[in-house]
Amino acid sequence: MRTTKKGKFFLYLILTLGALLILFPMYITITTTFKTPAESAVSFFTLPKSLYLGNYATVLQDEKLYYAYGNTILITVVSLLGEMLILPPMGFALSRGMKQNRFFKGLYFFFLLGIFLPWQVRMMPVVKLMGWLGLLSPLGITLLYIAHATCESMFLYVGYLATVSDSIEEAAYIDGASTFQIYTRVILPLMTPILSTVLIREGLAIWNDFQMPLITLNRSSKLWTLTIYLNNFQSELSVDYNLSFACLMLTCLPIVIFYIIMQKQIMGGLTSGAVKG
Amino acid sequence: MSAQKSKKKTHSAMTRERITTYGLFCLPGFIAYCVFLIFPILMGIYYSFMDWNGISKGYNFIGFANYAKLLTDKKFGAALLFNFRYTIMLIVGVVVISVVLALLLNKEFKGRSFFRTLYFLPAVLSMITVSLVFKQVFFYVLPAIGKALGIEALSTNILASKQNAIYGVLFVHLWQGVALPTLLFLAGLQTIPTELYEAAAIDGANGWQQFKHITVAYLIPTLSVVLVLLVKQGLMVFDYVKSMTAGGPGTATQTIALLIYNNGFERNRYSYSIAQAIATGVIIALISAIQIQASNRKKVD
Amino acid sequence: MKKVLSMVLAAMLLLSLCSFASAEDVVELEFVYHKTESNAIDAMETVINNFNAANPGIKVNFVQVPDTATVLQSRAQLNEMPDMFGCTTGNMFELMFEDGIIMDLTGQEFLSSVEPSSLEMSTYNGKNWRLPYSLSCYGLYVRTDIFEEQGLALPTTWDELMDVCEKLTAAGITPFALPDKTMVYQRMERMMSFMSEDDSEFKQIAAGELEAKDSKLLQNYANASLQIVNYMTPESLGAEYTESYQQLIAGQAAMTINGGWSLATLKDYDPDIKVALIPMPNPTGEESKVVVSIDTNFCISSSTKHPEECLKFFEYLAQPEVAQVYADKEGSPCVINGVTVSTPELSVISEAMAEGKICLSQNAIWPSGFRKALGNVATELEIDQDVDAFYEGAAEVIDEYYNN
Repeated sequence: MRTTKKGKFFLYLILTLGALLILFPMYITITTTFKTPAESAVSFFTLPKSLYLGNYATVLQDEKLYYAYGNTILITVVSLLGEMLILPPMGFALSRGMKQNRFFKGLYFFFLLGIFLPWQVRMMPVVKLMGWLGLLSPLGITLLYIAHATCESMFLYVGYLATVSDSIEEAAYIDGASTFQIYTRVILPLMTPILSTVLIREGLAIWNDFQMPLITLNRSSKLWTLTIYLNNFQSELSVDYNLSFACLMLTCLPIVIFYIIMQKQIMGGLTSGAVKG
Repeated sequence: MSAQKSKKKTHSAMTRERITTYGLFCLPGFIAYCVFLIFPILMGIYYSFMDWNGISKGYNFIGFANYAKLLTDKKFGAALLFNFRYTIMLIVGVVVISVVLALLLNKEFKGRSFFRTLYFLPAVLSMITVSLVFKQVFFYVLPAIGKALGIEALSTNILASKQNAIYGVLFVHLWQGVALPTLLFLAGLQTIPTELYEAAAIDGANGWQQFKHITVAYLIPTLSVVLVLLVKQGLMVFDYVKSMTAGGPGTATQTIALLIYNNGFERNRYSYSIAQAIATGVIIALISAIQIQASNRKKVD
Repeated sequence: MKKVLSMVLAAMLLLSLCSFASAEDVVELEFVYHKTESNAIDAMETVINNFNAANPGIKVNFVQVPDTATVLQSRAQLNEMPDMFGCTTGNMFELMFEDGIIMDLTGQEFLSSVEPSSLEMSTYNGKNWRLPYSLSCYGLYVRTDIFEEQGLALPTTWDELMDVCEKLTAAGITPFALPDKTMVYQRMERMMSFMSEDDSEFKQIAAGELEAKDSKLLQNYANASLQIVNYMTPESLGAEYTESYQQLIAGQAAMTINGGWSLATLKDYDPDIKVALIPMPNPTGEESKVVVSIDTNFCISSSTKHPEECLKFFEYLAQPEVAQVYADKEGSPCVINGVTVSTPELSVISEAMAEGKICLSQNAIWPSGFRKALGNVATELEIDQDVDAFYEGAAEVIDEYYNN
C-alpha cells in the first residue's frame, strides 16, 4: 500500500514515541545492572558513574546459573519440539473436521474447556499426579507444557486456519492426495506465520514460567530453571534490584537471540503470505 | 454432469480416509490433554466439595458448602467487580493498540523490521521481572515527571493511590501484553488477498470503507481468539498485581486470583480457594461462549 | 543446526542422568532452608559443610528455594517431605504438627541447650516439634551519624521520639522512611504486640461486647500511626523494604522502623552505613518491650528414612560452638545457651532483651491471615487519615476472622 508523505511522518512519529516508551524501562534495567545499590539510591536515572561489573561477576560465578541454563534450554527445546509435532496437525484436523463432523466439533469444545479453568484448580493435583508417575523432573515437566498447549495453541491454530480458504486442499483431494500429504504439502507451508507466532509465544511462556518449575523441580538447585534462579535474588520482602536486573539480563539473553533468529522466519512467513486466497 | 458425479463419489470416499487421519492427528494431543489436564482438574473439582486445608491428610465431604459460602462472600464479589473493570479496560486497550500497531507495521516503509523486532521485545521478559522494573519506574521516574509537569495525580507513586493503582498495573500489563496480539493481527492481515483491496479500489471504496469491510472482516477470527485469551488474562490477572501492589493500597487492587492465593496458601482454606477458582472458570467460559457465538454470527454476514 | 541441537540434547540428558547417580554407602539427607538473605544462606551452608566434613558417613544436602512455604506444602502432598527443614512460625507448620508430618522432638537431650523461655515459646500443644534457633527482633533503626550531627539522644519514650521528630523536621531532615506500600501490617502487628497483653479486646469486639471505637488498643494504635504519618517521607506510602532502605542510606530520612533482618541488607547496600537498632518506644506511655519472634526453627520430618542421622545433625546444631559460627555469620540473636552475638548495631536492643524487656509477636495467636487483613485497614488509615473508617474497617475484619 502506498502512503502519503504526511502519513509517513505520522507513522514514524507514532512508532518512535512507542519505541521510546519501550526503550526507557530497558535503559533503566541495563544501567541499573552497572550500579551498586547505593549508587542507584541517589542517582537512579543517570548513566552509571563507572562501569561496576560486580553484579554480573556475582551471578556469573554462581554454578547454579549454568545448571539453570541447561535445564531451561532442555525443557524449552523438548517441549517446543513435542508441541510442533503434535499440535499443528491436530489444529488442522479439528479446524477441517469440525465443519463436517459433529464429533470433531465436540472434541474442539472439549479442548477449549482447558483454557477456561484457572491453573489454581489443578496446581496441587498436578504435583500429586507427577509424583505418582515419577515425573518430577525437567523432562516430566515438558509433558505438562505439551498437554497445556493442547488448548491455547490449538485454539490459535484453529482460529488461524479459519481464515485460510480450503479451496487449495479440495483441489489437492481431487488430484488424489491423501489427507496426510495435504497436511504436509499444502497446509503446513500455509501455517508458517502462525507456527512461528505460536512457537515464540509458547517458547516465551515456558522460558518464563515460574509456578510449575517451583512446585515440581524443587529437590535440588541442580534441577532449577532460570526463573527459580532469578527469583532467588528476591526474598518476599526485599529485592536487590541491581543483582536481579543483572541476572535478568543474563537469563533473557538466549531467548532474545532465539527471537531474533525466529523473527526472520516470522517476518518471512508474514510477507510470503501471498499464497493464500 | 458425469464429471460432477464422479467428483462427489471420490469426495465421499475420501471422507472416511479423512476422518481416520483427522482422528489420528488428534489422538496424541487428546491423550496428553486428558492425562495431564483433565484428570488434575477433576481432582481439583473433587477437592472443592471437601473441607481440605491443603496440608492435612484427612478431609471431609461437605457438599456444596464452599460454593454456598461463595455467594455470600463480600470479598469475592468486590474482587469480581474489580476484575470486570480491569478486564474491560484491558480488552479495549490491547485491541485498539495492537490493531493499530499491526496496521502500521504492515505498511511498507524503511526500518519496518527494526520496529517489528523492537515492538515485540517487551513480550520476551517475564511478567515478574517487568513488574520489578516498573515498580522502580513508578517509584523514581513517574513522580519526577509528574512534579515537573505539575500533574498532581502523577506526583506521587501511582501504585500507592487507591484510585489510580489500577491504572499503574494496567499500564504495565498493556506495555507487555500488546506484543503478542500485535503479532497475531499481523499474521491475520497476511491472509487477506491483495486482490480484494484492488477490486474495492476499482469499485471506488475509500480507505475507511476498505478497512471496515475487508480488513475487519478478515481480522474477526483473530479478534475472537485474542478476546478469549484476554478475558481469561483479565479475570485471572495475578503476577502483575501480586508483585506490584499485592492487592493494595488497602484492598484497592484485590483480584480474584490474589484471593484464591491467599485462601489457598495463607489462610489454609484450600478447598474453598479451589471452589473460587472453579466459579471464576465458569464465568470466563460463559463470557467466552457468548463472545465466540457472537463472532461466529458476525463471520457469516 | 539439527545436528547441533540433538547433540546438545543428548549431552544434557547424559548430564542429568549422571547427577542422579550417587554413592550408596553415604546416608544422604535433604535439608531445605527457608531464609533467602545471602548472609543467612552463607551461615547455614558453612555449618552444614562443617558437619559433613566431621561426619564422613552422612551427607547433608543443602537445598534452598525461593518460596519455601509453597514448596513444603506441595512436598507434603507427595509424602515426600525433605528429611529436615528450616521454618518460621505460622499456621501452616502448626497444621503439620497436628497432622504428624513433623517428628516430635520432646525430650530430646539437645533441647536442653536452648534458652528455656525460647523453648517454652516454641512449644505447640505442649510438645516440642522444632528446634528454635534464632530470633528476629523489631525496633527503630536510627542513623547514628545524623543523630550525632544534630546532637540528638536516642529516644526511649514516645514523647522523646516525637520530640526527636520535631527537632529533625526543624533541621530540614525527614524523620522516617517507611516501607508502607505493602508492610504496614507488620509494623501494626509488632506495635500491637507490645501495646497489649493479648488479643482479648479483639475477642470482645468479635463477641459484640466491645465497640471497635472504644477499644484502647485500636485507639492507641490509630493515634500513634497518625503521628508517625506526619513525620515520614512523602514516598513512604509508595515504598517497599528496598526503597525505604535506599532512602535511609541516601540520608533522605534519619530513621526507619523494621526488623533485625534488615541490617544485613542495609550493610549489603552500603557497607559504611552508621545505624543502630533500638527498642521502639511505646505510644501507651508504658515501658517499651522488644517484640521478638523465633524466625529460624529446625524440624525433622516424621517420614524421614534416617531419623538417627537427622537427630545427630540436630545435636550438632545445638552445640554452642556450632551455633556461634552460625550466629556470627547470620547476625541475629541466637537462642542456644552460651552464644553471644556481638553485632555492634544491635548492642542497644540486645541489652534491652538481656534485661528481659521482651515480648512475643502476637501473630502466633492471631487467626491466620488476620494481620494482613487488618493491615489493609491500617494502610487505608494512613492514606485517608479517617479514624472512624479505621474503626469500622477493623470491626469488619475482626468479625470475619474471629467469628469463623
